[in-house]
Amino acid sequence: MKWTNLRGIIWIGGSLLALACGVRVNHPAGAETTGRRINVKEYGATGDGKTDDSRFIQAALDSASIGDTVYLPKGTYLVHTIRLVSNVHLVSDGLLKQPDELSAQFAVEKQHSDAPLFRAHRISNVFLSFRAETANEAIYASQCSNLTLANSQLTGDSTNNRSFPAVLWYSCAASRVVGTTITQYGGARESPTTYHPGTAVRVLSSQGITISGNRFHHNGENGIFIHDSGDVEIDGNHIHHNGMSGIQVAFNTAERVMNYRITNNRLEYNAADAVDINNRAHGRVVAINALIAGNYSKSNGFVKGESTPDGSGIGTLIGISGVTLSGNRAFGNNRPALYIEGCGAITANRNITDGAFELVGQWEHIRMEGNSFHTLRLLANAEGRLLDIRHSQIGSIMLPNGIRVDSVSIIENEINSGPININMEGHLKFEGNRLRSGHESGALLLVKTKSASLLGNHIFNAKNAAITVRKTALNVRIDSNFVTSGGTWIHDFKPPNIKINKNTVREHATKEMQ
Amino acid sequence: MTKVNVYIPTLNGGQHFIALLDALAAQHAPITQHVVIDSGSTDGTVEAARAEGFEVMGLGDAGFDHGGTRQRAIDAYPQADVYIFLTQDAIPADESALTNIIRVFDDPQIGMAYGRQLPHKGATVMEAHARLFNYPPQTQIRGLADADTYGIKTISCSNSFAAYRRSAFEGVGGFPRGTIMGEDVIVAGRLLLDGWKMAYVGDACVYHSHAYSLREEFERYFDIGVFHNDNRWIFDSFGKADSEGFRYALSEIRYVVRRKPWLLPKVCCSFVAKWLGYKLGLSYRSLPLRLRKAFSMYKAYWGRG
Repeated sequence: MKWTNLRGIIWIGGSLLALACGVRVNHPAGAETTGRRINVKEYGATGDGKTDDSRFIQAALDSASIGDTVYLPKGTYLVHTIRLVSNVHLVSDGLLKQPDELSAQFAVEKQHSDAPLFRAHRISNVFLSFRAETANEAIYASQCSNLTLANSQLTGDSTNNRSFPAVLWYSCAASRVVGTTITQYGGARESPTTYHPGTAVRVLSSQGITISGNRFHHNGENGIFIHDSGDVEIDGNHIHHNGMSGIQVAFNTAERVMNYRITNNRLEYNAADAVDINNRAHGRVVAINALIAGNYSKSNGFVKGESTPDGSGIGTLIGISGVTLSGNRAFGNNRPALYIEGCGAITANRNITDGAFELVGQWEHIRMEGNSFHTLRLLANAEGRLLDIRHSQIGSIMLPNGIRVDSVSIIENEINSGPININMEGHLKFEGNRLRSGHESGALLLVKTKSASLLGNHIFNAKNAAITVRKTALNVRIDSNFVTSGGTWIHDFKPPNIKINKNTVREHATKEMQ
Repeated sequence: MTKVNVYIPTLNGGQHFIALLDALAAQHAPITQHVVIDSGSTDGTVEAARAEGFEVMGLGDAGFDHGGTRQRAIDAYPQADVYIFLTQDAIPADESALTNIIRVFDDPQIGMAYGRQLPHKGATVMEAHARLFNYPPQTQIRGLADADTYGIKTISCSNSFAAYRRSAFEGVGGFPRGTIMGEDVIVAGRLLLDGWKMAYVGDACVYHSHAYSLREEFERYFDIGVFHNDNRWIFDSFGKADSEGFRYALSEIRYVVRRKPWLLPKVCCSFVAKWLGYKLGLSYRSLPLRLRKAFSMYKAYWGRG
């Protein structure tokens, strides 16, 4: 064997050893390692938990040069507010603690405190890693860029029912929160109707934000709240037991709200939605180019076992367009897994849930392929251009009277529980499906369609007529279907232009249907 | 007529790049613009490209990024209906390679296509097997509905020789920035999720293969593990590869036993290197930065904050 190969094997063996030893992060990615390490104890900090160490830590920061890292060794550092400095990093093995008397209250009129633990304004290139117990924000940054908060543990004041968030970024760019645990900002939600402010990460009017690999739990309000911001990646977080939604995206001027990637998150036991993107107030549909994929959600929308008004599992989408939802799994949530209201183009593929997909108000194009879900439900005011559902496992389809959809395509699905009542203004394609119904009303009712193509379906119906076609259904073609019915196979009210052809039917087949 | 641009990222392309220039000059397909985006070559790559009339651009301050660099080239030269990407060592096997890959876009459902890769002349037996296993001669059209059958292989593709329909490409936001690799797979996944189809074009061929050392195999699979860790949503959307890795290993053992059985120990070492690299890559978040950098083939990726 050549020496180069042997060297490779030795090198790999070394790697294996490193893995076996369980190497841990001690200087996270992003931290500059070229500068000096400045120990705050050299500047007089005591870390005894009694002395106010603020000015010593500040002195260490102010004395640092570009690329230096201010280091806090083990101990408890009583701190009021520290002002961060551009290009100077801070890493702490000790605990930073704010005195309780600093605690102030969040209000809509005043959304940041006067005494955050770390204040950053118009600075850039800072890496932070620390443990803290704070009365107000752990970090409040405004107009900053390239800030990284990594591998930190932040604990708030759970007795403050109007808490500021742990991390507040206002008008920041290219910044990130990674590998961080944030808990107890704000009081726990006690009732289905009210909650207490206090969010883990609150991002306002910012651009280029990454929130990845964190754990946000037991905070008063949202895990993550994003407002009027764009180019946002929220990936691989575990967000649970918060008083409102796991992730909420809100709008202001809307121009900035685009390019979202919400992937691989675990969202459970939050009192509202897993993911809520709500542009209802803005008044027009906004294309946001979002990917919501690979998330897992469970049991959202409850407080102490009682239902709150919220609790979608995959997403609540209101007034937006250009969203792809894929590979998400959602179980045991309070509200429909996917709630779509007043949207443009939405694509949902290969999601699995025990919940419903619900469509409300107007929409442009909704395409769903390869999903498994309990119910498709359109509300009475539903009005859309295109609804295309294919290759899916669907419990039932509930289409109320009077919906208006230009084109509905239901292709090659397994639909486990009829009947499907289609009373709509528009064109219907119902092709290649397997539909079962044990209901008195039969399996399929057609009323008022402009055209309907029932082609190549397998329909199993227990009672009465399998297919009923009212006189108001126009241009109906029923072709090459396989119908097994406990009653007659079709009840035809002689609508104009109906064409019935090549169907294979078994009528009064009660034995087969048992 | 369909307007087509060709984009090639380069860094000291050497003789393969010269061969690529010759092969491109011989293509039947009319190309609107040839664009080279160079990472700082010092071996005459840039001069050779300019001599052939190529547009040449640098990386700027951003540094090389698999997705970002390619997107930068498109942003600078966006005027085409189809964007073709080649790597500097992927040499069209005949004069029709580009014509054949462009032709599949006549089907309005096709959003992206990628071509067949043949081993370079003189490639090792393992390189040859890798190409023959992953790039069969039959053309295949795949859509989202095929995910149940092929799992993650549904969106298998390579920017070594790939083409994108501009409208589809822009619809999914172009190449992602800041990914360690797999920008092509991410775009393919987004396209299929948005209802497009992709084509594997068996008669659009390039010569492209690599002779990796054990260490390089390890590093490459470390990067694959990192990519999979960072993009788990792709597997949630398309499924896993299931037994594909095992099938590949068996196939490679059979292939080597029939041709050069004395290389079997090397094959086994290569499996171990790949497996270890992949597993370490999957758990990269618990490794310190210096180890991530040491294990990775794409060192510069870890330099960013």
